[in-house]
Amino acid sequence: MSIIRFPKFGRRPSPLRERASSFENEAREMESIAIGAGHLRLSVMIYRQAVSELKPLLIVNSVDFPMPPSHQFCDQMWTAGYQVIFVRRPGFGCSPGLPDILLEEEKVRSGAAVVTEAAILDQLIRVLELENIVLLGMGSANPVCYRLSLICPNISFSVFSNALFNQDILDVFEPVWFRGMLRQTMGTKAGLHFATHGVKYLLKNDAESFYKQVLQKSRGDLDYLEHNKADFLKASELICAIEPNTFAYDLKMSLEPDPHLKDDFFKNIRAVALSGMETTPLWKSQLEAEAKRLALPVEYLPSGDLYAPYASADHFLDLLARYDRNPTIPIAALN
Amino acid sequence: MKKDSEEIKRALEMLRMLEENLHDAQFQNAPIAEELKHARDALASFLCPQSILKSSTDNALEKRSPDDDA
Repeated sequence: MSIIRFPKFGRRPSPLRERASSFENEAREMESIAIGAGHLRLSVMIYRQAVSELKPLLIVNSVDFPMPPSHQFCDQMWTAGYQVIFVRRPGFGCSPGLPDILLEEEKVRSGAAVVTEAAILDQLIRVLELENIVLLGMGSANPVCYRLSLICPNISFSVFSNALFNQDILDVFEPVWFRGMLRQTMGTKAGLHFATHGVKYLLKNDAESFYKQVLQKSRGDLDYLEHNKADFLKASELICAIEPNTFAYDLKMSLEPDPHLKDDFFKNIRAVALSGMETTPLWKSQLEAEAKRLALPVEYLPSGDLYAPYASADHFLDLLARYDRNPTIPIAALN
Repeated sequence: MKKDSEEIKRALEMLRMLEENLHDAQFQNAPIAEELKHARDALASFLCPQSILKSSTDNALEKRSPDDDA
């Protein structure tokens, strides 16, 4: 009797499913795009591979998930008139990070690193000739996205999803040991190295279990993980390739106060702060207080937390319909 | 600090981008002009630590400083 071996997750796909899966993979293929004279390259996913006439939905990754959103999400956006273009930030797993000089503590604090990333993304937008862009910043990418919204005139509307602004929210991270690790990265250089090694060890050992623990407070995020395990596995490999100084820079920009974020920072841009409902009251109250100070409207999506736009795609489209598709709303009314 | 040629080329690219953005930001009096300047200066000192680099943007601004007007 012969033994039929099935793939690790689920049953062997049917030939029809295999063809569909091959289309999905090709449609979301990452490509390396040269900017400037070609010495600088970024990993980019242009959904369906070529820039189309649809409105660009430019997504910039958070440190916890340097992968594009699911095929299902991209396809839903496509049907609604948006083409997902996902950019993997420099140093996040498969391209060189910023030069070491910019990642020194003093330079990070001065905003030099974060604004350089914004300038690089601005250049990518010029290379791809994108216009009338909706920018979606995910989690730790938001300090870069705030700056990008200011320097790039081709961005018409920005969504800062799960943005930390200057909130005192370390206590919202779950589980407790993960919170401890984050604290460690902020304290000393040795603490940073210890904590990043710890995270990488856990990811190498059992990525799925790591994500399940970190995402435990949101049913929507857990469902998203459940349906996109291959993406999370790839994300864990990319995270393991991030250099400690890039980790440190990203966490510092997210978790420490950003002195450059003055009250009127967003006064000339159309933007909203976005969060999932599946989070803690502390997060919501801190987000609302900071958004009020910065004169940004706050929007909530019913499902998801870290990945709320992906987990609540229908509601995310409703939000775009209200703000982005309605150019008659002046900035003053938005803010 | 040991610099490899690829890193120097990348840093040069970034410097050029920053100069472009800095010029626009200063022209529009944008709040991030100061950050762009820090980044530009850091990369310039990395690429050429012995010399004091001054960009055309800075020189142009210096020429238009209020002291000069007075």
